[in-house]
Amino acid sequence: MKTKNIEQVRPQGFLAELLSDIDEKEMKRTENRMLLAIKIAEALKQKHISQKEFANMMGKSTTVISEWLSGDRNFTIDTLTDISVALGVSLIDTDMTCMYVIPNTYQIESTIKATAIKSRGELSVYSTKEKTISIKTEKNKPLAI
Amino acid sequence: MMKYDIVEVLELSGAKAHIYSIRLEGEPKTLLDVFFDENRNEYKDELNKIAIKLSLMGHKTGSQDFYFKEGEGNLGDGVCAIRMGRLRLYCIRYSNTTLIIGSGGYKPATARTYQEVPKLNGIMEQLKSIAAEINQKLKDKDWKIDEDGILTIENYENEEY
Repeated sequence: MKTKNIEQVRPQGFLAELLSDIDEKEMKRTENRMLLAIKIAEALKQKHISQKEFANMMGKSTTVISEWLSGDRNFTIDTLTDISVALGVSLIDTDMTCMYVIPNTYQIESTIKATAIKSRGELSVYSTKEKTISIKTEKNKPLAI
Repeated sequence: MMKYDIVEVLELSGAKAHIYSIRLEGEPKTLLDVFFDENRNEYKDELNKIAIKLSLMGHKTGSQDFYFKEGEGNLGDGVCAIRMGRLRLYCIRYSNTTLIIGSGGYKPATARTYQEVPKLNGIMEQLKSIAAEINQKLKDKDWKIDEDGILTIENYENEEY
């Protein structure tokens, strides 16, 4: 018995044109919508809630719930909050501990006071001196401080 | 019996899902390519969104069932639709990691079902027929889809093409 792998082909024509010129911002928006849909669907699955029951909980039609889960819905913060409350899941990141974003910055320098500690038996010697350190961060990536 | 090849679409396929399309015998392009070419003048925005969505399914999210309108074909045959505005793209979905894309077209707001639109009805009849053949080959274990979504033809010598 022979096994044959499926032939792989590159997209042609207009599809190839579109894929070679995808707008990164639009891509990220769609990705977030699709990932949010997964989060909502996972929450429904974990809580054994059907789409119909969820529709009743939210006071919406099943058509609206299908649209929410299609990955095409541009949710408002209010709708996301309502869904979060109903399902007990976090859909909006409001964590204040990670709020520093350094846009378009690859390297920053900061002067800090470093403490040199030298211990000899019970005798500890402390001295302070200024030292410049470099912190590298990726473009637009939040820097947790 | 209709002759065709299933081909994997590079650039759409990725770590999360293997995306395939159908190439009819003698045709240089897949049904997916033809769908995009046929609708490029009138539905450019919708096609752009579909291209992004398919790419994300392959690389980031997988072909989750809730991204599709299911139950478009015969019972349990996996035929479903991606809806973008009034544009429909019909597919056969096997799992979160395996999707075979067919063709589609415009569905007017006045039409309740695809059967009311002759072009869409023709496309769906073709896809349902292909889905039935593929499902039989999978059942007979002539074709296999593994858990990563990779489709292989196990019994190649029995294949007609």
